[in-house]
Amino acid sequence: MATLSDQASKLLDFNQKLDINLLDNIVGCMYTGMGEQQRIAQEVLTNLKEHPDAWTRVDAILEFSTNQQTKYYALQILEQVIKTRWKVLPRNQCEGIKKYIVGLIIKTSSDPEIMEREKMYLNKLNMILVQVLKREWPKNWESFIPDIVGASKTNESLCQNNMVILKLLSEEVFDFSSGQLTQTKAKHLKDTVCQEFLQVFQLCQFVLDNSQNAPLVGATLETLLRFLNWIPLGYIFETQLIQPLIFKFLNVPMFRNVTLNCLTEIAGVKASKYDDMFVTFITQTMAQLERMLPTNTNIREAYAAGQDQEQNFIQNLAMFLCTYLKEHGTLIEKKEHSAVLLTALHYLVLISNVEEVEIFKICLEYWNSLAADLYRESPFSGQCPLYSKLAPIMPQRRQFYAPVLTKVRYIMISRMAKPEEVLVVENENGEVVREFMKDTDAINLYKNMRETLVYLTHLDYIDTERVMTEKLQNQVNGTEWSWKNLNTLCWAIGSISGAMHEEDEKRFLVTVIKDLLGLCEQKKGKDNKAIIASNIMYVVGQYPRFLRAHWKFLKTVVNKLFEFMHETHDGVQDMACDTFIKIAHKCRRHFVTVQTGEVMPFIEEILATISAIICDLHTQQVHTFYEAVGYMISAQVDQVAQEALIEKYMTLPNQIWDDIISQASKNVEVLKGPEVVKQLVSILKTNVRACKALGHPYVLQLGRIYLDMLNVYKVMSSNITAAIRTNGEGVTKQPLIKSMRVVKKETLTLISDWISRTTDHVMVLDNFIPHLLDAVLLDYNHCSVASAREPEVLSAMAAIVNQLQRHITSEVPMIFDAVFECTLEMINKNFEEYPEHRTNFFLLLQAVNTHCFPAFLNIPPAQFKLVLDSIIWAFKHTMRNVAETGLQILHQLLLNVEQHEQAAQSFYLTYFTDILQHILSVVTDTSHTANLAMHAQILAYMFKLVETSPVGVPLGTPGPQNVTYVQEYVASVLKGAFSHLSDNQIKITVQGMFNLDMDIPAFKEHLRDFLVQIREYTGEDDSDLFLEEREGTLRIAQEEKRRIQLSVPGIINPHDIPEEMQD
Amino acid sequence: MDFIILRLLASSLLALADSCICGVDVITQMDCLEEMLGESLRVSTDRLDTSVIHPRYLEYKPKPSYESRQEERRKLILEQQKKSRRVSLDLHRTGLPTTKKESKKLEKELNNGDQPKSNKSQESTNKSHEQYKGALMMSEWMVEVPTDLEANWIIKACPQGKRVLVVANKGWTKAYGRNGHEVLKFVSSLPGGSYRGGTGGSSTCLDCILCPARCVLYVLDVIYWGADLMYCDAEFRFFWLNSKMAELGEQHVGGPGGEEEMGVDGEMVDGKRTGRRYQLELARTLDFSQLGNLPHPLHPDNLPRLDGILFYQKEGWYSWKGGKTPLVLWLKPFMLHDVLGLPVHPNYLLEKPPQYSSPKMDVTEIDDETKGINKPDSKDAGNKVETRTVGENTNDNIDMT
Repeated sequence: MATLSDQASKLLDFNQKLDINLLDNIVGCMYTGMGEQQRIAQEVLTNLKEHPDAWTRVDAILEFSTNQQTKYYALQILEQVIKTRWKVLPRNQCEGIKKYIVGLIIKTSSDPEIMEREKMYLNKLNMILVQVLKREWPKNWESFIPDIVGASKTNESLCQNNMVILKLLSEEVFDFSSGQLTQTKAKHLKDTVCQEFLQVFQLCQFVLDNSQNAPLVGATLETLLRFLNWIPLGYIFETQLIQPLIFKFLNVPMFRNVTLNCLTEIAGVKASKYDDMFVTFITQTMAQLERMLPTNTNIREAYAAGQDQEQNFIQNLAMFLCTYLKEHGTLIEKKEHSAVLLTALHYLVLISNVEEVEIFKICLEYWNSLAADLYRESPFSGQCPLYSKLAPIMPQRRQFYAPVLTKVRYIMISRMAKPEEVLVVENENGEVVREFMKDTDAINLYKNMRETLVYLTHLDYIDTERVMTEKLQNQVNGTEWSWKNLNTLCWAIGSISGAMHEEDEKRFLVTVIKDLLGLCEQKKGKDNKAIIASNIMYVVGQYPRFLRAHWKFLKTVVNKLFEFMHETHDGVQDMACDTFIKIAHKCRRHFVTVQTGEVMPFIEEILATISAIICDLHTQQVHTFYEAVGYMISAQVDQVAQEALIEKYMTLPNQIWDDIISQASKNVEVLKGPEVVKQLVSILKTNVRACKALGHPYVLQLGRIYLDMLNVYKVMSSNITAAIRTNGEGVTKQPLIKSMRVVKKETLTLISDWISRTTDHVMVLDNFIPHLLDAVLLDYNHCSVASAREPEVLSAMAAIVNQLQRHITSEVPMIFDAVFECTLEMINKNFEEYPEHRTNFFLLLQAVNTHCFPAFLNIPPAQFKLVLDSIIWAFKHTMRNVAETGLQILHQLLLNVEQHEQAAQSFYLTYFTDILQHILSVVTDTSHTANLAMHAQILAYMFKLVETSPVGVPLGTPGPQNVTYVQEYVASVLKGAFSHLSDNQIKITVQGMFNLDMDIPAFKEHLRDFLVQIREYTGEDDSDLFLEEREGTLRIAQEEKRRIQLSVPGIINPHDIPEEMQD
Repeated sequence: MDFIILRLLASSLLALADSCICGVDVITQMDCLEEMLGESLRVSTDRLDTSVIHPRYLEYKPKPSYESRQEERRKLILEQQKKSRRVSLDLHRTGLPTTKKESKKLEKELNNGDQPKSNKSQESTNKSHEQYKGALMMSEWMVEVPTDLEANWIIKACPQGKRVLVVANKGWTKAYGRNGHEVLKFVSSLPGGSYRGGTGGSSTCLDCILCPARCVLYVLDVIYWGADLMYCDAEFRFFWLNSKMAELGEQHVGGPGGEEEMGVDGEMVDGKRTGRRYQLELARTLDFSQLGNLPHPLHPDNLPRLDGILFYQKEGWYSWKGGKTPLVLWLKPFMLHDVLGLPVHPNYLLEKPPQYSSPKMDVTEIDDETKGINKPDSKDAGNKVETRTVGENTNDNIDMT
């Protein structure tokens, strides 16, 4: 092994002649070796690759090596040098490399056999050529397009490879240019491609018209596909391009997928100018398709039995049809073309039945937009019962689509996705918990299907009802009976809650529930009955409006749920609790009022029998139950009555709590018993749920247990510290210690949850805060083992500050005294340890800065410097959330400072350039690109200050000298960090920063261009530069969508509607 | 114009009439729906299950049931018990386990099933909850009063709490809920329940009520203690249980302990417990004569409350994993008055759950119903109930609540 690394060092000695065998050996080692040997080989190769002169060896390696992998490695070296150091290479070297690569490509691609054999190698060469092109073309290589077009005509296999190069070029310039090229460069390249495109297009057309060489035609079609999304429309519609695609290539199995993709690109073009063309286009394509795929084909089965190619074809067909219909569907709604439209829709219905969910999603998107469009066109639902005898005139389009929509209803109803996903996991405290998944693929599918079905119901609720009833009958008579089918159907029934008129909904539901109940009676076996019961409860839970209108039924349902809470059959208890909380939440008011025919509100009945109801539930189900009952009690508006309810409600947990406390007051050792700690956890969790449901009125119960709870907190804390001190950190993994920590955490959660739900600041400040600070903060501060400090203390304090805002400013120094330095001490050694403390610490800092800024002005300068340093420390983190918080704090701090003129002047004098320098250092650090927007905002703000501030930033006296000073400062910082940039580059960069500081988006683009420039040297991948914008656009689109949705009754799940619209 | 208005008016009237008819329809439909939901939406329970309301207090008239009467089913089970004792017949169909096979199985389960888990994988937790799921013997509502109630039944007072199966072996004592999930894990002086004094592979298996507020497990029944007691009749099981508990009390406390406050677990100093440890106490056995004057509260501070009264047929075996059996019957304290005609302390009436607050059926309906259930030969067993007017009795109680 030692010899390996000895020998390897020879490779790095550029005075010696390259030992090609040795290199081959090492590369071999790297690919086939094991363990240590492989590691060394990799290290050697990496070192060699990073050597600045490595590229000088490339030609020798390529020429003499017999190993493909070695050659590939050499090409990687070459690629690296082109990407990062091209501009620093002497011109003649550049020309040399260029010629060398072109020569190699021609040599390899001229012979079809070699081309096929060395595909990988050739591909890499092509990639490298494109990298060169991006730097050379058009300035240093004006004749590139004529060259490549000319060369193509000499040899078919060469031409085939040239097509590949053109395809890569198109992709690089048009699809992936952002972040790789500066804005101006990218625009320039695009213009050049368009100007010279005619020659390329003629070449393509020539090949397509004349060539009999299948691989060449295939490559040409692939290349054409890439061009189609950017070439000027004239090339598509005013040339003979479309015809051969439809008539010559579509029905050739070998080309049909790529051809169909091309047609899809064309179908997606938005241009009203060519309406006639689009009609002809679809008519011809559909005619051709009917010949290839007869309309009576069972596509579902064909797909299931098909090969990859055929399956892809179905997927591509779905894409094609959906794209066309979405863009130009209205063109063929005219009577004379409607046959074509019907055929297209027929195909789409057939494809929607394909099992594969990805294909279904494509179709779903279209059905959704069609249904939404038809509904919005005239948003009436044909459901106004008062005038039901006057059949409303259905708009023409609806009539036309009606038969198809019926089929779509069948599809939606028989494929409805699962509405919620529950995951059973073990959490960090070793408890098995059920988690409701919020954002999974399956749930998004459900949302889209639900939306579609709601629109379809609005379009014709009678038909929806008919289909559902029919499917339900098939469950009852057994023809479609299966658990899966029943679930699917009930999810569908539950999904249209609110979409029908109330009277119709009632009638429909009564039938549905009756049939399901009949089914439950009819089926034998606990498993069957359990499934049916769950489905009934699911449906019922989805229709709170119905429940609210029928008290006796609601009461029967709830009593039935209580019965199910004793059911030992798997899953029934969970179902009962989940349904109960759903119903409690939506119908809460009905449980606290005296209903007709009753002598007392139903809540009284529940509270009187609570122990009997929950006695067979396990702990977590009990917590859910308590939250549910809490929602009911929260609906009682009379304070006295409510307090009486709360008193009864908490009796059971309080009995155990009181017993534990009284035992502990005699002998504190009691609190070390595992069962006792477990009970405390459970009681606290019950309280947390009660608080969550009750909100402010929970104060009654909180006051009852508050002081004892803080004492328990202190005892737990000292137990944990003692255990760690005697047994070491490992002890924290023991279940008992974990449970003790949970007691502490739940205590903090309970307090901060309640504070965040109350508006009575005076009460909080007078009655709760002093004890809390005494107990919790002192405990945190005095804790002798850092890891035993609970990070939740910091987040609880942050929550409290956020809630009490300026009211708590006076307490901030005390909070800081207790937590600031000791936490900073834990996290200032590196960027990783104690991640939770870290995150929460900065959240607290942010809260204080936002709401209690005056507190900062009153602390000693040394401590203020500490605060500022910790903010700078925060935004240097690579933990994204911490860095983000840091930047937000800084921005807010700068804004706050500006408001306090006196403090501002000395602040700017002392810290301005310092902050500027630190921000610049993170902007240019590749691990912080995610926060570019925030960086831009802060920098723009700072430069604006320099230009406009009346106090003179940063020099302290107003005037233009400030601008000059800062410009010079920034320039020198940048120059110092990036010596490879030219003075001009830096000058323009700095200038731009000032020019654009009023326009933040432009400022950011400017920064991004600068980042592309410095990358030419550092040569790192920066494809992640745009991630945040993408997130941003998606979010905006989402918000817009929700805004529109809220205006359609029933489109939002009743359980997602904001509270104020309820009840 | 006028014409249009008239047309509108006419049609709206039509529609109104329509919706009225429809409305009536919906109301009766809703009643029917509520009944169906209450009555037929069941998974594994039936109307005699004690987790549903006693059939005599239902809001609607229950459909006639085709189940045979409690008395008959009891007879059948007892006969089969006898048969199986003689010829060791396979009795699976009644839910009773075959003597030898099942007995071995229980022993095996107790000894092997509860291996210390090395990795808490999903599978192993699932398995352990399957192991004791539905193992406990459940009671039925007493809907007919047995004629031999005084002579052949043992009566126990059942405190309010969580029904658990307590299994002591391999040094731990664990309590499992009805659904088989572990609720509690502690150390007890039951055989097998701790490492103290060398447990030597012994096990104990008890049927208990857990009262967390008092930290007490009230023992109702025994399934395994030194020997398998599943196929022993109730009378013997309770004798065995009492003597074993007494032994345990003596051994532990070092003196004869009263049956009531016999702490078999938890450290006792001067008769007071010092730690919050779970104690085992026997649930109180009552004479039939005591039923008429049950004290209130039964436990100090009424914690736990008296949940109900259990009636054990003396000859009945323990129905392990057999669900509910007519050999054990159940009444709420206030029902002693309504069903057995005994006087009840007024406080028990105050504790009556609200669902039972008003009688839902009058006498005639009950008569109908009992006739529906009872076969023609029901004279002897049924008349005691039939002559008693549930409606009247419960009416008295309304004033008190």
